[in-house]
Amino acid sequence: MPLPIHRRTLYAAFTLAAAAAAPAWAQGTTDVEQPAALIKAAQAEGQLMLYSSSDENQSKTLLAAFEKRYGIKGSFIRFPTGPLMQRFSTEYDAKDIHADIVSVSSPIPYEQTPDRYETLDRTVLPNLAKWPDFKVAGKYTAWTSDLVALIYNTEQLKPNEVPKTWSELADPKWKGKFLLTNPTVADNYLGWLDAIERSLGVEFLRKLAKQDTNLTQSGASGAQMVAAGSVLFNAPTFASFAAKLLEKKAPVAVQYPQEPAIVSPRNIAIVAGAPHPNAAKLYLNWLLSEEGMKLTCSISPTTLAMAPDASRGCMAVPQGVAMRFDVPEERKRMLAKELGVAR
Amino acid sequence: MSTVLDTTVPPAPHSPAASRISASWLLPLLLLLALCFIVFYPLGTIVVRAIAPGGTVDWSVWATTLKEPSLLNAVRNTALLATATTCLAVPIGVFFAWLIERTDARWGSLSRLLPVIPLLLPPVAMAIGWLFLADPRAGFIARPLVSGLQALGLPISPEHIAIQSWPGMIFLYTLWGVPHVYVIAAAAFSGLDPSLEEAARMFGKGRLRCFLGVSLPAIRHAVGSAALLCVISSIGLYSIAALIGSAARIEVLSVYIYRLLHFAYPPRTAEAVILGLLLMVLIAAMWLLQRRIASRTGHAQIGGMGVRPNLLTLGVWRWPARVLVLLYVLFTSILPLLALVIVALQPFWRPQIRLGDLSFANFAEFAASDAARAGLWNSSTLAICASTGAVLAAGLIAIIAKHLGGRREKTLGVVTKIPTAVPHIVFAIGVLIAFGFAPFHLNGTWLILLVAYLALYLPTASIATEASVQQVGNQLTEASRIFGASPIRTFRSVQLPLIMPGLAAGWASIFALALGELNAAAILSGPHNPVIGYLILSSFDNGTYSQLAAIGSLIGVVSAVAVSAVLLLGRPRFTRSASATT
Repeated sequence: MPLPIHRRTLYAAFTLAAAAAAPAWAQGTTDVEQPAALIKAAQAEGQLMLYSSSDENQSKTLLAAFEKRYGIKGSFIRFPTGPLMQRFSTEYDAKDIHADIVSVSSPIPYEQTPDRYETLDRTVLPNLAKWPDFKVAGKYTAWTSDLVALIYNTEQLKPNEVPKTWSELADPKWKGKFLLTNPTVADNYLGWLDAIERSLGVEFLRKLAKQDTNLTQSGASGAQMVAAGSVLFNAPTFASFAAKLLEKKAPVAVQYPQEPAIVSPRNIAIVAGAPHPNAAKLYLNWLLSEEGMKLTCSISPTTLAMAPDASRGCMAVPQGVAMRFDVPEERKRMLAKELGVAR
Repeated sequence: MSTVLDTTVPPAPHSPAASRISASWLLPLLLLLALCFIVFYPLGTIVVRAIAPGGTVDWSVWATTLKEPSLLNAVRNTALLATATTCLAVPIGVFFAWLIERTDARWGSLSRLLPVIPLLLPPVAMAIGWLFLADPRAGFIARPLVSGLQALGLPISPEHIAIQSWPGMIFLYTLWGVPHVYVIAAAAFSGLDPSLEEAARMFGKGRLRCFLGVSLPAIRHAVGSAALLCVISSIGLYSIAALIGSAARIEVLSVYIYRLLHFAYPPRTAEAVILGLLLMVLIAAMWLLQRRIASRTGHAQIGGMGVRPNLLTLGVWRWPARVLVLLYVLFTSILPLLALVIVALQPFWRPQIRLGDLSFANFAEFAASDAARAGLWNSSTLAICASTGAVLAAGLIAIIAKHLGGRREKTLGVVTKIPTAVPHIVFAIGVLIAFGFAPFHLNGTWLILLVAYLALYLPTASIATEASVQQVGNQLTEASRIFGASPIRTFRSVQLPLIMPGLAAGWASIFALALGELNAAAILSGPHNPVIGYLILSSFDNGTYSQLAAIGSLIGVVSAVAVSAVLLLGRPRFTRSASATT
């Protein structure tokens, strides 16, 4: 039975577990570095541009560590998947490519235009040898996965009062007191809505529509409203949005509602014809290194797709429903309408 | 102004002077062509893409666009908001302009700046500031207000005074709209011939009747322009609607179009472009109507030049009027800015202000960030270049238009207004497609933003300058030409100083608008050419409200310094010359 997970508790638990299981996961954790020639070429390129829909804090921290390691300065653009892919596509169509790496949740952009991405295998990313059973999707690879979460205000709600299942959101006692993230804003929130409807039915959406909630257009913004006490909690959202607030000792905490637990993946790929191809390969390989993986998991609780155990300070693969990204337009409209977020 | 008395006989029509005249028209002509290019080429790209996306005429996308059920809702909400805003902002703005410019409610030249102060905060910063103030459970003002009222036993619940509601939206839009109206109306009032008003007072008309019966009709051209501007800008305003409106489920057209472009993959550019085209047609029609009404009576007079108008004495109403203006400034600028500064100093937004937690950490983080420093620098330089360029170009065009007169004047007027008819984001898409790639390759550069801003703010500049130029009589210009001054000399020495208040007002408007511009920036700005708008969007979506507050308060300061300097410089010409004669 999941309890509200505080980051520090989580960290402590996994460190203990990791220490106990040390010999077991020590195999396959020796990094395979890129050839020296590639490292040199990457350093000669000197720059890296990341287009990612992941939380800004994550990109900043990872790029800073990468720069510390190899001296290559990285910058990034962060937008939700829609605007991000739109920017990328416009540039690609006009042969004015700025992005070296693209990372979004949905596999659809990668599947629709595979020729825009490099094939990924062990020659491109030597660290993949650490997981012989892990299958790369070809032109992109799964990188992390996250549970859809709920962020609540700890000054106004005690842990045992927080909703533990999604259906509790329809409880009249929450009417007008929480913030709903607009699911039409990004594809992983829409994926959540789709999964919710498949589990709990359209009736649940109608009940939710009557809850008189305000909407937020972004998880980051929603987390701030919770920290300020404007609302009791915000859902759906992701744990990464609470990371920076937790650093500043804001009164927030993360809860993972169940029934169903819904999982959102994150994929990553190297752009074909990127301006800094060697830097891109170096970066992605570094992300798969021990240093990279540990850092990723320390920024905020997440699961690594290729190493689904609870090692390196990461979360174990959650039991949950994988969200779908190929939701047809008709269904999207229906879902939005029933939830009351579109007319 | 010095006019040289030429003792020689003016040259005959077909002498070298004629070629001298035509040579000095060359520069304005080139300027006009360049402006037409940056205005029409992106729009042309939009029109072509809307009507013939694949090279052949195709109306199928029009059906898809117009059948969308949520479009009607967005249009209805937008129309309501635009109407409500204009109906509230225009009377309030004109009234304040009259109070400050024509009555003794003003005190010193500083009070002329007061109603303009709200322009210093970009609409997004003001909206966020009000969110911090008026959020029913976490707002600095709203929370104690609600608890206080509840303590008194009143059955009030937080939902009753939410800023995320229709009244909240109209309130914010009006707060945003009033200074824009004020700037135009004040410029018009300042150049007005006082003799009619004095005559009315001598005949015993009350102050209010004087205002309604004499002053107001005298500046009806400016009022009409201001109303039109208010309507058009309300339609295109994105930031307030995106932040506050979406939370309240009030979807407007600008957000609808933004979503078409940004939240759909692949983006529904074709639909956005079609809507842009339709808006263009609608606004062109409105403008023509306004011109028709305004041109019924001419009203230019020379008497107001260099003459200090006698201020209407308000007597016992003087201090209430001043308090009113002060309250207005308090609500629109001081309170939100204060809220922004407080949140900027907090580690994260919370209604309880703990002095121990306050620090400059957010500003330090901002200063340390390369992107933030670059953004501030880019925005400042862009704002200066865009406002100066747009205002000078608009001034020149307005004068050329006046000189040409008739239908050509009308055409030039339309040409300079066209960019307003297209929401900034759609125009930005046009600019991106037209100039971003082959053959110009300006994508991701500072220059593409300048091109967009010049085109986007040309209408604002031209409305401000046209109002001024309309009120400048022909006599001084004709006198200058009779004495043999070239058109450029006439422009520089005679016309420019006379329309300076209008130019200064336009410059101030555009500078503040360009500094915090959000809509075009979302399309054209990126990590390589960040601007404040991009940083704000980024912070809102990804960062903390405290960072957002830090950026917002910084812009407030930068705007304040620049705008005050300009407005102070743009005014004293008349007061100085007036004091010289008294």
